[in-house]
Amino acid sequence: MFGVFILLPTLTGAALSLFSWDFFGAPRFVGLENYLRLGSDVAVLPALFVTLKFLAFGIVPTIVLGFALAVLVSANLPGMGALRFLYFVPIVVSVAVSGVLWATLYSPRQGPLSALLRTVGIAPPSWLSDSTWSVPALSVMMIWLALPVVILLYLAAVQRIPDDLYSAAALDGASAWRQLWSITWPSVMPTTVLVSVMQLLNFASANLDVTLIMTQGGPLYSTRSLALYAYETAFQKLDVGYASALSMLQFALLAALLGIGWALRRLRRDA
Amino acid sequence: MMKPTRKVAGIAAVATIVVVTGGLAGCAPASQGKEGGPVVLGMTASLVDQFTAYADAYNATDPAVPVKVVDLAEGSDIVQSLVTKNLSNDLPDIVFNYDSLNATLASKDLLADLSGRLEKGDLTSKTFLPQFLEQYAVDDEVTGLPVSADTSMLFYNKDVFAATGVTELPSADWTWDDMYRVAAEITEKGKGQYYGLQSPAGQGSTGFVYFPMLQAYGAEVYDKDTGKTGIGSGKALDAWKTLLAPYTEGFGTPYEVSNTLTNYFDGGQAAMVIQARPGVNTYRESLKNWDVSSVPSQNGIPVIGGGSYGLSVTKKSQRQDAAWAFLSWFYKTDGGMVPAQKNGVVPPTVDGIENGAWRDDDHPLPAHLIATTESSARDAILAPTLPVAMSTSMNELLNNALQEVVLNGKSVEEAYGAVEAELDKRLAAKG
Repeated sequence: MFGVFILLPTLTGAALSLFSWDFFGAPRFVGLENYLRLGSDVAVLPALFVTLKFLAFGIVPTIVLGFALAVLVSANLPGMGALRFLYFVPIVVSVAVSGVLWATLYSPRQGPLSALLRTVGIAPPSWLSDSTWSVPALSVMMIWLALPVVILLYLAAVQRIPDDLYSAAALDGASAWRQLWSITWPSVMPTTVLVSVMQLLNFASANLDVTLIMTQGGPLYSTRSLALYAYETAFQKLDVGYASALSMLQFALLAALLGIGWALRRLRRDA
Repeated sequence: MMKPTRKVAGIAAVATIVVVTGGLAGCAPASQGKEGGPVVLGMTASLVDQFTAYADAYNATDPAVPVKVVDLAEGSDIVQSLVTKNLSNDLPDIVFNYDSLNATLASKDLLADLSGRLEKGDLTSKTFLPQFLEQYAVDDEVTGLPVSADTSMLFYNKDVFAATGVTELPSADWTWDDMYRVAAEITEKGKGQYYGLQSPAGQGSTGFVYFPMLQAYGAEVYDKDTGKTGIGSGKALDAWKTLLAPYTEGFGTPYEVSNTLTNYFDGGQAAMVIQARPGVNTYRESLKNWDVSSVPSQNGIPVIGGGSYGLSVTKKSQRQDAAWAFLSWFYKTDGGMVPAQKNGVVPPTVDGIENGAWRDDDHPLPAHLIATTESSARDAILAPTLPVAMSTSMNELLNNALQEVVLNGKSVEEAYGAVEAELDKRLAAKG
């Protein structure tokens, strides 16, 4: 299954990047021409930067929020029953419906977020139409969409931690915060690694759906990531070879980031 | 138990891939090329139910070959759907098409030339309003037939006029100056609650608005003789300035990059909107007190645009005669156009405009709808088929140019001059 659904498409993508193809005619072998185009295409670097911005704004907040909410849910505090229900909401609504919901929230004239800012005397920006705010605004939406799975993973990890550890720590006078930092967080580290990898892939690739629905890459290309640029190149310009080269660039970026993460973790373990 | 060696595991993996991919290939339908079976009509998702009803009506006439409707996805996903169906040798016999897609599909040699069939029989080129058929003309070929004469009209909400105390309603002799003057008055009196006009430039690439406006200023989107675009020429710049005025001068609805919540007219906040006729179906549900007028003129020319989705026969279809038989029935005023008109379709045919059932719509109609529909269909200025080098990137470039002007403060000259330079570069590269 891994070969068919993961390896084969990846190898096919790599192979297609060596061809010029419009989906309809016969592919023509062009060697590394598509990769050479990457260097002279003025749209590539901005798209790469947008992808990195999505990663920067998305991954760490998703991990922190997911972990915090999982701890809250597992603590059986009053009102957590409602939270258990609410964190599933993003799963049951489609991205399109989420788009309408978040467009309403971000509406500069009628949205509650802007209304809130106005009540405290701050002029709200036009969240989605402002080049500065568009990526952070979409990242918040993506975090919301990603949280259910992250919370579930952390919840499973938190509930596997033996109660004895907390009892012993409490006897030693450890505060709740100390227990969280010294017992819970290290115990869920394998889950954090898994979540980090998942979210790296999510924020690099899943921004495609969100940007297509919300901003179409605008304003002024400020939300056009590599994923969206590759999609437009393939399905609007019908330039499959170059779109594949763009996808391979994203693949290389993610592989490099995963490699750096793996090396840092190894260094820390060896230290 | 002995663990399998790496070699055995490798062989098993390869065998699995071969079996699975072989199985998947075996699952692939291959209706394309088969002579038996029904004519398959691939339709955009939102119109599948309508066309299924038309196919049922056709099949009830006991034709030699019945018609079956399949889903072709929606919006930009249609290209993906056509690509996959073509790759799996499963392209429908008749496919949904639209003006800008037509150039792409025709350039890939996917569509049959219908010009020969249009010279004889019941369904000829004279059946259609010429500008609507022209949208599907590529060089000397006709690669599609228009379905609906969707022209632009000026819709207006009388309640917003009344709420702001403005008594001058749109009329057929209005110019754009008149429309803008009244829009500015309503916006001013609306005090943020009401706007005079849904800004007609929209996201920047609404063809049925900008194309006739460019024509009204004497500018050409594309000059076949020089092989260049005139989208940033002096005359075109004047047209863009006129179109963008509601944004730049602040009397239209504000620009937002997300078009999810920008339908101020639907929400009863904008007094006027230039919209295609199918908007009638929406507004009779959402508004109470509305009517239509012709889109005002500019420089003495009615800035009425339009377009039509179309039906094309695929080149590889083995059932082209049967497909044509369906199309011949579909375009008859007393044939397929009877059920079609119940869905708001205004036939793009000469007979359909004069005698179509759309005139006897069962719903309560605003006073000026019939007359405006008829005059707009005849006067509409429609964009011709553009070269693929332009059509695949023009919307993106125009949307960006509008953002440069409205959000970034660039001049119209600079923003649209850049669009012209980029399009000319792409046209030159494609030869």
